Amino acid sequence: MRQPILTSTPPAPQPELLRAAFRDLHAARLHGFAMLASLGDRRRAADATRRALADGSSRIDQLRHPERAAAWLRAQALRSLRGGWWRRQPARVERLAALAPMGVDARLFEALATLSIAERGAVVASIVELLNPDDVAIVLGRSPSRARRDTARAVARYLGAAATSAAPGAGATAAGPLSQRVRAVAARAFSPAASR
Amino acid sequence: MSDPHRRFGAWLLAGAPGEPPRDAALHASVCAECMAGVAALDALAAVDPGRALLPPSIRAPQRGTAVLRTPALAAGAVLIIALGIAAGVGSAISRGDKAEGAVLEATGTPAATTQPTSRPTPSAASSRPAS
Repeated sequence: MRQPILTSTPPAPQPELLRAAFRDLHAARLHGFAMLASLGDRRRAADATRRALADGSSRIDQLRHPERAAAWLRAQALRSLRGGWWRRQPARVERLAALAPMGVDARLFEALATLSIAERGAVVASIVELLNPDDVAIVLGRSPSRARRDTARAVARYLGAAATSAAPGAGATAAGPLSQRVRAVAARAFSPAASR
Repeated sequence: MSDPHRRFGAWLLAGAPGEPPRDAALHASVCAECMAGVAALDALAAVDPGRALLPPSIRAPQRGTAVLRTPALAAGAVLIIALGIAAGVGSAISRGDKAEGAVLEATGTPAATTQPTSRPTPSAASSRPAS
């Protein structure tokens, strides 16, 4: 006798499976965010990630939207990172080694080192992770307008530091996506269609 | 500072949304300072947070460490215990001071002394001047 394929509604996924899926979805990038915000402090980043994931897993029903969940988790991680100031600070070499797999070189490190944890959080959330302004506001725990101001200030500080540390990544990423966009717009200004 | 330069800088600080104004882009393409800013943002955007090495403690959820799962909690518990000990020692010392004070007060009054003194108490007759 043939069994019907769909006899009833599929069973709800078990909470353990949901939590595991939540962890798989967010853990790696959240940890990367914490590593960048803490400037390569492995212990603090791991602790902040673990705590944020534990809190997020316990509120899994409220964090169904992946992007909102990502912003919420980063906000928790950032709050944890602002806390543990009494811990041992790793040496510069350790920090650089921890950040190297993500593509952070010495010059980029120096520019990021001039920022506070909150400023790094703002810069990373907006430029590295490309979160939208509302999500950046959640990460920073600010109103959207205040978050926009804080992010612009953090980016300005980063650019200022980058200029003094001989433009991090200049050369290697001179033809990055933003550079190509700017050059493409400039090239169009010279095209015959633009001169009409 | 030229106007296109300032406008290009403002566009960068706003997160480089959409396309830059054409004259600002034209200026930036030949301005070393503007292109250094662009390169700096490109270098940052090239960072991949997903490539951070994930420690084993994050890969698998931890179990059975709810009470003292963070060093902060442990430090807080130690601080509370230390404060309790300090308060206990402090109150013991202050009680000791009070007791010592009570003994001194008691020995200071004549009623407290039960032992007869070797010196006789001067009587009214002996204290009378000799005539």
